[in-house]
Amino acid sequence: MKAKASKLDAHEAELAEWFRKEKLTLAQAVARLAERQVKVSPSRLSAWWSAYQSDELQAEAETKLYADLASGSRIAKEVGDMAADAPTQVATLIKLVERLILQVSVRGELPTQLKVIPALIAPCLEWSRQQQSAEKLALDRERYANTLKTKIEAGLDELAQQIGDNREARDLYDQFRAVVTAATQKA
Amino acid sequence: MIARTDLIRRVLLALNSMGGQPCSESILIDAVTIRFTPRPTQGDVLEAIRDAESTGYISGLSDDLDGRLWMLTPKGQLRARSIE
Repeated sequence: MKAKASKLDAHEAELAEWFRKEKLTLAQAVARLAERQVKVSPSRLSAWWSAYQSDELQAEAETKLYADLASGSRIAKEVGDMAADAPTQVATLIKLVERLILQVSVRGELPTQLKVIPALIAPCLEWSRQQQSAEKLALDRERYANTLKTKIEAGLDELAQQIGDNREARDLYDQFRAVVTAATQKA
Repeated sequence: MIARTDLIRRVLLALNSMGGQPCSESILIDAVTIRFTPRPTQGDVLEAIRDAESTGYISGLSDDLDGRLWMLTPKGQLRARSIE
């Protein structure tokens, strides 16, 4: 932003055209301004033109910054949303990626690969969820087997009590128990 | 030295371009300094952030991962849209 307003500001469109399209020299531009009753020295005009171009560059850079930020935050949000139902460790990692995307976009170094990050994270998350489901299923299966084993053993103990001192029944029971125990251990 | 009002304007526009998402303070400071010449100091930007907060344009919240996060209030959204 220019430090202070100048009488040349009112002619910025004309001056931009003279210098950029018509390629006028400073002296020629000073002469044309004089025809419009604007008196200015070549050095003053040169300083004003430099400041004007610098302002323009700054404005362009600012516009690009906000566009980059908008683009980066869209991708970051898409990535961040994935953390919502992700396992804790993965969620932290995703949050970090989200922050990195924003930092990179602020610096204007938004690489094209960044746009594919959400698409890359999605299958990783799916795999992670499947792993979790498989682990949970294995755990549930183990719990079920243990419960079943306990119940069978309790049933066998009860049966043993009912058999009492009957030797023939006891032999048959022992054989039966050995078979059942082997079967439950295999399961 | 950059005018405080210009820094506040940049803070509001940066947050506005992020579509209402909370932004960590460090990223916000980078957003209003890195691509500008002359580059404002971190202290100047922090004061501008405080000013924007006391005016009711932005509000902050704490986050374990990011420290402090800032986002536009409805008043700040209106202001940002008016200066876009």
